[in-house]
Amino acid sequence: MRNFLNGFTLLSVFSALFSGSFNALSQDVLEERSPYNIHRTHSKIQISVGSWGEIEFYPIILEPSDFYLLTSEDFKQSSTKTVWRFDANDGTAVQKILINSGLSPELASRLVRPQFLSKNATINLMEITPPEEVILGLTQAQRAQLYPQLMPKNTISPFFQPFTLPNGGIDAVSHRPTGLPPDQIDRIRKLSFTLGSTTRLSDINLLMGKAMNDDERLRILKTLSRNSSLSTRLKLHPGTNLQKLTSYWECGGKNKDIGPILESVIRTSGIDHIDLVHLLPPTPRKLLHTYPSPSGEGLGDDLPDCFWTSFAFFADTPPDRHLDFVGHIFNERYELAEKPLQFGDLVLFTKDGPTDWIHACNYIAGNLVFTKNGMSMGRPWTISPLNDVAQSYLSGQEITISFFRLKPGYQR
Amino acid sequence: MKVSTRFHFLSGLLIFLLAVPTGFTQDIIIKGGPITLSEERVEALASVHQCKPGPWGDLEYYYTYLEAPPHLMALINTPSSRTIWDLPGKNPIQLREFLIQAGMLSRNVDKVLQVSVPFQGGPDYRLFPPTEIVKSLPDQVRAVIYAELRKFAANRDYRFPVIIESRDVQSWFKGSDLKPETIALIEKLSYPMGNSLVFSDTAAVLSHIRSDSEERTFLKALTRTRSLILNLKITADSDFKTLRSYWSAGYKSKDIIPIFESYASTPGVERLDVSHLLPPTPRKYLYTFPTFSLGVDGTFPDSFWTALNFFRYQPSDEFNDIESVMSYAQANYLPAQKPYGFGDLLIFSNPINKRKLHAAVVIADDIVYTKNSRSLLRPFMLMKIDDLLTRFTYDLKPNIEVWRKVER
Repeated sequence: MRNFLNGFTLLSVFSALFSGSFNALSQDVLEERSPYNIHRTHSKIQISVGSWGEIEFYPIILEPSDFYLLTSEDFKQSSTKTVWRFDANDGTAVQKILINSGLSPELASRLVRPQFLSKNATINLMEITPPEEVILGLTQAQRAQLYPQLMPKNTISPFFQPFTLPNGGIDAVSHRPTGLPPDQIDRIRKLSFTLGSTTRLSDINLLMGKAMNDDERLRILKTLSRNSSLSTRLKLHPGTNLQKLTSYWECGGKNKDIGPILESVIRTSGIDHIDLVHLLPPTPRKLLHTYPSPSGEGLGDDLPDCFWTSFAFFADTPPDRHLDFVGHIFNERYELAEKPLQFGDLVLFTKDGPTDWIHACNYIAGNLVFTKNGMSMGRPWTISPLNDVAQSYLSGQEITISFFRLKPGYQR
Repeated sequence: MKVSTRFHFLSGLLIFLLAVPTGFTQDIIIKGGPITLSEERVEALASVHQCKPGPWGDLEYYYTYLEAPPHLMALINTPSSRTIWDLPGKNPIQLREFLIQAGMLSRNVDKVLQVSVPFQGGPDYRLFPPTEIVKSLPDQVRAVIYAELRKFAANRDYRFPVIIESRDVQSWFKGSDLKPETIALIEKLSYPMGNSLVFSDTAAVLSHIRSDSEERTFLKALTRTRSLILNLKITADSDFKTLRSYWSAGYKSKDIIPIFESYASTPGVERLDVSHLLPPTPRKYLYTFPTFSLGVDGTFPDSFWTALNFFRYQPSDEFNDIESVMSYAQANYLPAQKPYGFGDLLIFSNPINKRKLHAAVVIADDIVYTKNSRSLLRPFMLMKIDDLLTRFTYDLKPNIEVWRKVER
């Protein structure tokens, strides 16, 4: 599961400096639990105003479907005990790694006793089976130091591919009830650790082992897999300039399919908004708030990622060629965007130079982007604030965000 | 020289290398301009309608009118302003007899026949009735003559008239930029068919139009189709279990479950646009007209393609062939029992020769998802079943079979 969920490798501290144009308008009260065990929770409606019109949006939380999670490796292996594996020759070397990770010499010494430490000859790694209280007792800094050193470094290791929680950790997404008992939420909070500017969790085995039943184990995975997105709609007012609005969303003919519905709605009084999904080009309209699936886009284990998504923004049907690479398209069809930004502009995140791409998404309006964070099947296509996306990708070093636009003559 | 739109982010520090694009600042709505909503919006169309209660929840909708976009209208040649009636198989004596029996005045029949010409090499006649005579026809006379014209493919405007389901021509064309006198003329020339009014006399109206822009506006307005925007009202009292079961169609549309549960949990969402609850493929096409890429293999989508691809993530062009459609339906669908629900397939057929005429998909209550004909000028849309039926009740009421997809 984590290998599906993890799309981030670059971490750092980020200051949300996008000024934006938000105003909190209202806050609804917590409502009663429904017959389907769904709580209706707080939502803060915000507004973004510009040449795109007036967009009203509020946060929503998405969880992957039961079907997807029930077939995940994490669910299948839910009874596995936590094992720390080290690429070390003996207990002394393991002890050194533990101490260098910030564990006290006393604890390190205890953990390399035979009752906890053994050699796995099959994979030629030293193994510690840490007691539960040791795992729970680690500090965030110790986890952040120790876990990246644990072996094996493959996609099924929860230490190499930890869960990446949304910005703000579990508290950012647990305002909508999770179906988990409070002690599990506390445990998730305690086991989370910060790596760069993101919050991670590796101790899935401990959490799953504490669950009472499969239903709770499913709820754990659902909670850890939560993603934030935004529900967005365009507000319509008397006096709104129809031509200006149409011009923005049709984007020079690149998104002309939305003309009829936009024109129809804005010419009909009494309709004071239109859901933004209707104004997206065909591909993002199809993908928004859905998750990749084996029967969906993609070929085999080549699944749609951020680059596939962002380069297919204006395509009627995304070319499979985008699963191979998109660099040649970028080189020939795109140029730096002149300000002001336009609907669909390519937002490219780079790290060590202009060719070291780490993420791409598409500009929508205000500070909102359409994004698919990582190749994971547990990551949906969302509309998110650019600063949230940037925070997720910001590493200890500098990253650069650049804006590009299709050259004149190119429609997609 | 182009201005770079690029930011650098550092740990805890953001450096704007160059100017911040105005997209990140609060723009001010530019007032004025040639068209504003307050001038143009259609006052009479905004009423919200309620669906009957059912497992689909508390649904409300409002009508909206879709017109073909300019790039498709550019493909349409403006016809002549001369009205043409093709009535093959009748000689002048038979034509006269037919028109008189239809109720046309004798002197008008004479005028029509005087300006008509025979087709070369045969007995068939093409009539060119003068506009003033066309305008003067009483409704019942018009209905009889046009019913005969509809039998022949050459009379396209009569075979496929503009259908005004609301029967209210004035409100139908409000907001279309047509002049009031043009709308009045369309109203005068419209005639009843089934539960609707229909309009066939494009040529007669064109004879009154003098400017190119008005001509384009008129032709564009004739592509109007009444669709509806459907919203699900959500409250804390909503029966989410039933709603989820209904809209996921027994898990056939499981893609919508995450967004449904999310919206259901967020009280800011009091109305959820039902497009979010459609499977990905119909959501992609809803309220749009076919793109050229859809016809790149030689055939544009029709109602069968649209309906059979409803649950398919990747649409299949095999449904452009009616034999493949029926073969697939028989292998993957079973006759549905009432109550019909989301995703059920409706197949319309001719009651006599059993020919399959149309397919649509049940959304909720009496609302269906449909694409009416292969035409590029027909959008994918939501429609009331009664409105749809009007299109098939010219002569015989079609049989409707209801099928339900089976997950295998």
